[in-house]
Amino acid sequence: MSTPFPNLTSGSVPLSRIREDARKSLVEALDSVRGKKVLILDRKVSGFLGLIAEVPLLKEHGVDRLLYLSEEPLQGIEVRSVVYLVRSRIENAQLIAQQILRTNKLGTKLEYSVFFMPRRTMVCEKVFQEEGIFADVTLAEYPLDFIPFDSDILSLELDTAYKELVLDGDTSSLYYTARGLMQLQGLYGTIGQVKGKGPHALAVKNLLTLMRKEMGTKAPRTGGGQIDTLVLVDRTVDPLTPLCTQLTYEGLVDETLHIKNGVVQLGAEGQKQQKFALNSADKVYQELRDLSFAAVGPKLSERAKTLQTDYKGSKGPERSLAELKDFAAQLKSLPNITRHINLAEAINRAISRQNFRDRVTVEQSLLDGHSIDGCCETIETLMYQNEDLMTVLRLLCILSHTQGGVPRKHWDVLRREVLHTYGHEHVLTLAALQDAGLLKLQQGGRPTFPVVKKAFRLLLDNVNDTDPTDIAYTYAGYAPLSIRLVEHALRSGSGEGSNKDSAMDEALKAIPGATFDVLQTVDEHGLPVEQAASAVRGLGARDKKRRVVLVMFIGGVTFAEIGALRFLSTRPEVRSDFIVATTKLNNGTSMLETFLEDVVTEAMLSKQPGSVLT
Amino acid sequence: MVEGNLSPVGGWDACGNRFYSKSELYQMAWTDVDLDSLRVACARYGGPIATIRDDRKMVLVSGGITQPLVKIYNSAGTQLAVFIWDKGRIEALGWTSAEDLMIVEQTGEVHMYSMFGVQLQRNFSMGSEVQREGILQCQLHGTGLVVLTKGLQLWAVSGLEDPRPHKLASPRLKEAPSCMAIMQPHHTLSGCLEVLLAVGTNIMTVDVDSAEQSGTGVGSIQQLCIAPNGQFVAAYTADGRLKVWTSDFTKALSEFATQSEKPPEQLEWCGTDSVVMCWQDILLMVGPYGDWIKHDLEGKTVLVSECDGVRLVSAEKHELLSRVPDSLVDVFKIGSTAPGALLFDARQLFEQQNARADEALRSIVGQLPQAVATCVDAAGAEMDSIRQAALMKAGCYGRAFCPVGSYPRKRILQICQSLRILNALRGSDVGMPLTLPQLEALTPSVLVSRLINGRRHLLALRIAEMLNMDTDKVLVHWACQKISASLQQGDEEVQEVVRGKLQRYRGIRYSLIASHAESVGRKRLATLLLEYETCAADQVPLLLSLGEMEGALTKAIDSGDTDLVYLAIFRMYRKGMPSKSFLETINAKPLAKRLFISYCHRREPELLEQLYLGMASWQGVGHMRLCAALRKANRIRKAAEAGSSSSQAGLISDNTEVVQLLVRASEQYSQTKEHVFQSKACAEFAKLRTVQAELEQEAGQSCFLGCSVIQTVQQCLRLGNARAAERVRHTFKLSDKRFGWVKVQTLATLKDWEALEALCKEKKNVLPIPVYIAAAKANGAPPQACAKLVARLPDASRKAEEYAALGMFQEAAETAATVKDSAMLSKIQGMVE
Repeated sequence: MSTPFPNLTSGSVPLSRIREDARKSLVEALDSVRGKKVLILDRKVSGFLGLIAEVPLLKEHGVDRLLYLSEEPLQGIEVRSVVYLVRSRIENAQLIAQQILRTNKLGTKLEYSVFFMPRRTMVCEKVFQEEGIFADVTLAEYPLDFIPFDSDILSLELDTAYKELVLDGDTSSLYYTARGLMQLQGLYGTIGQVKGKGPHALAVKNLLTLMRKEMGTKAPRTGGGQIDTLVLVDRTVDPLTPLCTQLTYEGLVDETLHIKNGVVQLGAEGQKQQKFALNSADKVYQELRDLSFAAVGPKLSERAKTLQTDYKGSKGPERSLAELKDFAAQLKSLPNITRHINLAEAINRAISRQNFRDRVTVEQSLLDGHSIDGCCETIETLMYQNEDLMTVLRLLCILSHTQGGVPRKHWDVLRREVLHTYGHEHVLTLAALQDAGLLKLQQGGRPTFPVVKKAFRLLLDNVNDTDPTDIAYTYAGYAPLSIRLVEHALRSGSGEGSNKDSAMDEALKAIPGATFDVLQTVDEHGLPVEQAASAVRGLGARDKKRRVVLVMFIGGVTFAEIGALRFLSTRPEVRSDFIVATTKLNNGTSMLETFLEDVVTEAMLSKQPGSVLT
Repeated sequence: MVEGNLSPVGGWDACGNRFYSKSELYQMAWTDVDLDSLRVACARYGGPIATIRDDRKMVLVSGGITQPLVKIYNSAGTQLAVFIWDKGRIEALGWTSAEDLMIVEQTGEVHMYSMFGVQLQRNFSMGSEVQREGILQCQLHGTGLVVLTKGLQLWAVSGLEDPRPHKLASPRLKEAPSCMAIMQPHHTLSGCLEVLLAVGTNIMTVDVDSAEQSGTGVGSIQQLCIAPNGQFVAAYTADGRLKVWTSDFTKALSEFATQSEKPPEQLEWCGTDSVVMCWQDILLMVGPYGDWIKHDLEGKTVLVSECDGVRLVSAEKHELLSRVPDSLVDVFKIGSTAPGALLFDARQLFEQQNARADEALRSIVGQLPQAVATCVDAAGAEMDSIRQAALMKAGCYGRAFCPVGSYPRKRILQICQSLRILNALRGSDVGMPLTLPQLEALTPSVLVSRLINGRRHLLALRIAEMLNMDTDKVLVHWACQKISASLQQGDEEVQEVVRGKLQRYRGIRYSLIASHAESVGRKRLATLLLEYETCAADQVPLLLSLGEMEGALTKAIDSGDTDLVYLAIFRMYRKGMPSKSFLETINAKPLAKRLFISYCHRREPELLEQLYLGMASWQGVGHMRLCAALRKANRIRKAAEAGSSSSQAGLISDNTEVVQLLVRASEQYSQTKEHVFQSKACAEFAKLRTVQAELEQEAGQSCFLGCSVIQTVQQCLRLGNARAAERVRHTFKLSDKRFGWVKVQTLATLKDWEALEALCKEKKNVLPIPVYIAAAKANGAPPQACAKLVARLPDASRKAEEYAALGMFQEAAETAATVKDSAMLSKIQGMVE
């Protein structure tokens, strides 16, 4: 079924241009291959391609069939041309090579074009050369960096970015991030101010400066840009937030039903799954998405009730036509309301499970820092009950992060239980989490989390779910550090600093990675340079108007964090509209899943309930 | 009221209702040039002229050198180059659109020279067939050539960047055609090169795929010439007539009887509407409506067709014969009362401080914008700089009185800029006599390319700057030329000169200059220049080819572009570098090392294991072996799923391999004390695989391999093999509590409620009752089954609550009553209601 595109023009900066450009270059790519063709996509690309172009458009430009990338030989193809559109990853290049070699073996002669996204790389070319198919394929690139997911969300769809950064030491994603940000600046003008914290944020900022300098006079013009500030949020500074359970409506939909490429599937088991798009085009959803889930039920019934009273009220013959029309318009939202009621029910079922409650309770006490032993035992019991491995790992990582490591007495017990329950192949998974620093043994020394927690007021009591005054409502009392940092960045340098801020500055020093605040300007020759913001006086004081702030999350962002930002934009003291950019929209589960080795994922398939003999 | 000295009218000739002018461009600077005895090739758009002795004519050879000289001049006759032609007999010579000289030998060898007589590395041959058959006729065009062999076959080259001779369709002729002409690809419908052949009284059109008759009975044609716009064809017939057709020969446009007995020596188009023929001492121009003009010639003259006229090159001078544009006619025609003429008059009067200026201006007040347009356009068309100025002044004068916005200021600016360019080009030192239409047809960027080819870098730079064009190309070309020209100077010296000049320009691509330096064998200079390159993507590949491996790697890492790092790594790994120093280099750069590991992990696991061994990274080796074991294990599982009945023995030996790999992984891990856990886990994993294989053999079905310890216990219980379960439990030291949980979970998922209750009743039961209840509920147990479990709860309040939750209010109330829990009682009451 076709899903409605998100409306991209309604944001503070119209992101529709990005989609238009992406569509145009897709069409160009398709048209560059003559005649009818088979289009082969890797699964990642096929997921978000729906946000760029619909199937009829592909058909219009000669796509006869759509296939997923696999190494199986191509058979029963009636056309001569095959077009691959894949991310430039070694795995994809390998699959393409295998498929072409196997197809050739069958004696089928086809013409192959490969479009690498977002660019062709040496590594992929090398794979082709080594497999001996380099001469058989036409190589090109599809230069799509940011993909618009909603009127205020852009994603690079680099799902393994975080893992590559913290585990493999592969910084490719930083390069692509900088490239994407340059592309945005090309469209919307140079962003005046860049702020951030953390090693990878710093690296991206430095790359931006380098790229601007490389472009010289051809760099995007400074001054008059549509985006005022760029805040770079480094996930390694706050790996905790995605691990916690999101408790906004949208966050919970994602946690329990998984939002994939802006679409959620709903349906009882055995029934036909219904897909629907979740984005700002759905007005009901727009109103609900960032509310605490506790406030969603009342809101939905309130809406349903108004509709009902309106209906009763409008029965009278004295109602004017205009009023009837209003009412009819409201009725249109009825299917939406029904849909959201179904969705909310499904979530309700999921979160009233005892395991879910246990999980949230453990999270809360870990954040609070009390009854650690009890928490460890609960985590163990969750494993006894065969709770999802990712949930368990999330809790273990939270334990490790908040307590400065897993207490020694639980360390081996918990790890051993993971292996016994979920399989010994997870030696690799645990090792990966350890190497990434997400999981560690408690050593001596003071953990940093309590210091940061205090300085940034990460834990709040008495959060009002229905009428919140702080972002902490998104995680039922826990305010994401990432968003606190954005708040702090927007406040600092505006001359409104206070003692609280200096406590934060102190706490920031405890977290690794530099804090920076620079201006992207030009020198007297009109060449791009970077200037420390502190060197320019009276910077913040002069503008009291609303700013457009681009917040780039390097290593992924959760829906609850986006919700928190949207909440911030409604606060009068913040005076900012936000656009969220990220390497990937994710949550703790999808984030930790990237740490699984391929062999492990494959081994896990054998442990699916279905394949165990009963 | 035009001042006599300003009027050009004296040089105009009427041809029907049009005027043509023959204006002198240059007095030729060359001396002792006898065009009669030379072959001459003139490039279009006022390009250079090449001459060589015409070996088809008898000349008296005097002096020492008997080999002919090729001499190259600019349009003003200033010699640019001379070189000895020491190759074979020449069939044709001409200029390409890039202003390179192309000389075709009779054997079909083609040689290319720059306008400075430097032979270019782009020689090619028309092929063995052409050589064998010999050339009957050869015609050159801007981007290629066409050869008609004596065997009456056509061969063509289109595109000189990558010249590949290809044969056109065979015209299947019995006799040689009387003449031929080339339709360039951009003028044909098909977009391919076409050749017109005059055969008998017909015309044939030949391209790659076909040879067709396109004009039948058009007459016996002796000469053919295609108009510069490709739309018309002029032909001279054997009966002395000049005929013009549309280029597809569907429509005859005009016919003119020359009454000459001899065919003309040359036939050329003058612009696109008139045709020029020349005999020994007569030049005849025929207009579109049969009107004609005759000029007498002094000596041999070469005709060069341009898009708006024809140039006449003779030993003494270089002239341009062209139609006078309407704007100039309007202003200068004697007795003209066009607004432009009146405006020009007004300006003249104004300069003489004559009050009638105002009167003249008033008379055209309604037509001022038109008058201004005429004067400005006329200035653009005018060759004489004094008249240009006068016309521009008139235009500006008129514009001052125009209504706001009725005439675009930009146009005046553009014409001024163009005139400055044209005047600079026309100077005899540059010698490029372009007109405004020619400049527009050529486009400024091509002009700039031509100027830099002609080593006029400063002029090119000024023009590029004035027109806000990219100056990089000019500067880079200059620097490359400079390097080529200073082979005697030291590297530092050249670097300083180049840098000194380019310093004030930003964004220069030094990599291109460095790459040129490398190509002329100056690697060190290249390295020095490369330092100035700001773009790493350009820098790294060149550094690599210069052999600066480490430098390249460092730059690549600094750029943040991981693909460049890969480029450097692969180049270092595959070429040149011995593996030991490769490893050392890689080891010193964390990013490079990790990227290489990441690559090897996916592509070359064996190499990675070697690498880890080399680095004494035991956990790395352990990791690799564990992965290998898992891959093997996955294959076993897949085979089992696919039902490929590998023999039991085969399976066991496969599994033994997995176990061995695991043991080896465990050994590697055990070498460092940080990895004791991994080591133990691998050992335990190995044990598990062994136990599972045994269990499978016992059970006679493959349902154990791939399971975790707990799942293994579960499988045993499901198969009803309690002893085996106990054995597994013992082997892996599961605690009583853990074992209890597995049992509860297994029974609950099997929905064996009785067994669950029985388990609950067991004496050595270690789990609290709520665990049983929760498991039963989670697996959809019926209320009765749950109730039995609830009954065993020791705590009455809790029991009451559970009963209530099951909807058994009676029991709930009774239980609550036994402990006098009134709060619970009222709660139950509330639920009932």
